[in-house]
Amino acid sequence: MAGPFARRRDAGLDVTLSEPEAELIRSVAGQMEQVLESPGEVPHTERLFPPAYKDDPDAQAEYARLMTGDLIDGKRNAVRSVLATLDRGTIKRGAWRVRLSADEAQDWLAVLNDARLTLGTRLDVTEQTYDRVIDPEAPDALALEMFRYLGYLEEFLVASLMG
Amino acid sequence: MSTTAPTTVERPEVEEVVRLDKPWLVVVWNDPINLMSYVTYIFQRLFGFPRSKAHTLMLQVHYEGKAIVASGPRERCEADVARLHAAGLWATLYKED
Repeated sequence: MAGPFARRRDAGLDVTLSEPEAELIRSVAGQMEQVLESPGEVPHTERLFPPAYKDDPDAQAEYARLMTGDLIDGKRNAVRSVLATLDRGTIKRGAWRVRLSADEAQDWLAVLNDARLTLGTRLDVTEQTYDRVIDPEAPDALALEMFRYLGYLEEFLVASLMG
Repeated sequence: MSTTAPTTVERPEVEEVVRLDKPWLVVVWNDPINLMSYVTYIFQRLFGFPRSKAHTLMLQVHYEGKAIVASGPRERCEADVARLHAAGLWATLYKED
């Protein structure tokens, strides 16, 4: 499939983006890094830490006590990995390129998805959001465009990883 | 006098594990943010399901609101839920009634 991600034989990916797209992803990853510094105090992060037990508050409290630390560490490591790949990207003839290992490709997927979960929660996304015509004057127009762009990018990334 | 004692006894297959306790179940719930393709991919990656099974489960989540993706002892189900949470899926576990 044509798109920003070309799968290699070692399961890594070659990424080709425009320079503004790469900067946008850097901004997203940087914001996720901030979100993960103190996730309990940042709004719209509940989807990053869903409950495991719906109807058992004691079991849920124990699950959160045991698992949340590892969950946050995993997300922070993915963000750091993505920021490191952005630092080593090169620009040639207007195209921004970087080669990702298989693990780094998974980190890109994790960070893109966490960013969509956070932004989607903030925008209160429903199934209908995807059909909505974005009014450029609407206060959430830019955020919605960003949410759609991240979804578009993630679709290509998943398709490349599925092979 | 007749006897009800059977002359032969069915021996259980050794591969079949009869659980003494009811199993725990891992449920994935529908949500409007995660992409359908992403959910299919995560089912394949985390559980090693073939593409067709992962796709069928994803459609069940999407159209029926939820699907059971794993079952077994509580500890293993909790670990599966944690892996699904790490991938951003909305998963819970409960004990079968």
